Amino acid sequence: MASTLTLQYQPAEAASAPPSPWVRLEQEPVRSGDLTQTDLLTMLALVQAGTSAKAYRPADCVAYVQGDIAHADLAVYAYPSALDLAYTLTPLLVDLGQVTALRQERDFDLVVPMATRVDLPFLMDSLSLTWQTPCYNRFGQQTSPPAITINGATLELSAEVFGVLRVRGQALGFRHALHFQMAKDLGSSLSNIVPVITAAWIDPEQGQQTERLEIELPDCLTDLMALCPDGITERAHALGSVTDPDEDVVPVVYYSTCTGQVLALRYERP
Amino acid sequence: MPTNALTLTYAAPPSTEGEPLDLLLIEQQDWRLGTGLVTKAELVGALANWLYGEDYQSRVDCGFVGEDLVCGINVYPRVAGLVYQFHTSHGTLSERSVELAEIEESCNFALEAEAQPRYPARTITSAEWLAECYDLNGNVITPPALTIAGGSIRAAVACYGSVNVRYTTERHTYLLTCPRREEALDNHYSAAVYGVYSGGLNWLEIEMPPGIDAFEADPDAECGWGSSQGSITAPDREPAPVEDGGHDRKTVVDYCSQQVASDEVY
Repeated sequence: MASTLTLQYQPAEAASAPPSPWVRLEQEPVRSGDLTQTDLLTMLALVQAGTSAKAYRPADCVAYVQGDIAHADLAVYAYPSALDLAYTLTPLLVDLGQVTALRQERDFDLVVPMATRVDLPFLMDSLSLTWQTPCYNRFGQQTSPPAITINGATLELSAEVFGVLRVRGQALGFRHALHFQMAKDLGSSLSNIVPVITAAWIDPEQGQQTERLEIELPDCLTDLMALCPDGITERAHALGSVTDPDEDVVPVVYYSTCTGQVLALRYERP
Repeated sequence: MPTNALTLTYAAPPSTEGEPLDLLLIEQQDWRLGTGLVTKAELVGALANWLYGEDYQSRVDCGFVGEDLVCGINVYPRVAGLVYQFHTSHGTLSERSVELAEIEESCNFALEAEAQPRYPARTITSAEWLAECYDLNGNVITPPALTIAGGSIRAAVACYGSVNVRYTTERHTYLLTCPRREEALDNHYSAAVYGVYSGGLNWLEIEMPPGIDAFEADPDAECGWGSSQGSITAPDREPAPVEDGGHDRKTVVDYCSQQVASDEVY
């Protein structure tokens, strides 16, 4: 009697362990302090108008002074790999404020580095993926683009390839408001103050994972600390002699160096 | 006697056998020092233009040529005569420029008997110890004899030490030109370059120049000066009364020597 034994060998299933959770932190952009052309032209206009440009503060400065306290309203974006991932934020030298859901349109390149799995930088909704390049296998041979499965914030590819994807969609996360404040006194200095936010979460092996972000303070806060030594109005002479230096009198503008508000304008002999 | 058949089926053999190759070293040329920054001379020139209408042409370098971002890419083949294609994910690449570059650098031995220069060496012309050599226990030892074997430097014994080495390497240079992706929301100029050859490929993501944020936000931004969007108002929020600039004396000072070139009073 004839019998047939059939053995079939197949490659092992690709590793399908779920990706480890993560939280990425990103500070909401603050003005870096570089003067723009508009800033410079505004300061020139101020000088020509008889007001010291020292009082000029960019309109988008997030810092202000109340009494003897300097404040800055900042924020940090937290992007968890899943919206239901439990995480905590621990602030250092800054206070946590209100939390709001975040949904931002983002558009970026993502290099698939010869892999079958690649993490997006954030969980995304309304995702569109477009290959910017052909796909290649690890031996430099061009291959057809693999099928892509979206698994949370991870892209899983049906084959190991190199290629560059253009990713567009809505990044999902949370915006945590931050409030920085500092008493102003003669010894105030921002030079060694670096607020820090640390995110912590538990991984599948019950280990604690953390992500740390140093918070950048806006340069206009530094200016405020320098220009408002005691939080009260000061008298400052104008630089208004640019156009007519032989004039007998020059305009002197009285203004608050803290708020920039013009208090009075008088013509005086220099 | 009956015959029993044994059927073995083997599925999906790899299309190419062996390990992938690593035959290209790709690096981006550094952005020039001061890229994106306004120097004092530039600031004075701009002020003179605004106040007095002096001729001024910005020379601030932001890595742009016209409206396109341009950067240099160096590619070093690890084997002579390697046939490869070089591509970019965005923008265009110039023709390949080939040169045999002479490099001088220090190579470190970290308790090993062989060290490799940073770039693939075609010929090593000299190698000499820079300082003392040490053994595993930190004892100073007589610098071992050096031999050159192909693209490597070999010491007679394993040791800690640094060697000054001169060598030549084959360098291929490309200029990458990236136009703005008008339809993009952000990352308008990002790109990755990659070289493909039989048996493998290598790639590099391009690092954007300092000051790129201004151009990401505003395509009409002026290099070094940021965006010019916005209005100019006095502190009382009224439009600032900008008067025509007038001056009755013009003094020209040579920037380099600080000598007064001319001093005219009208």
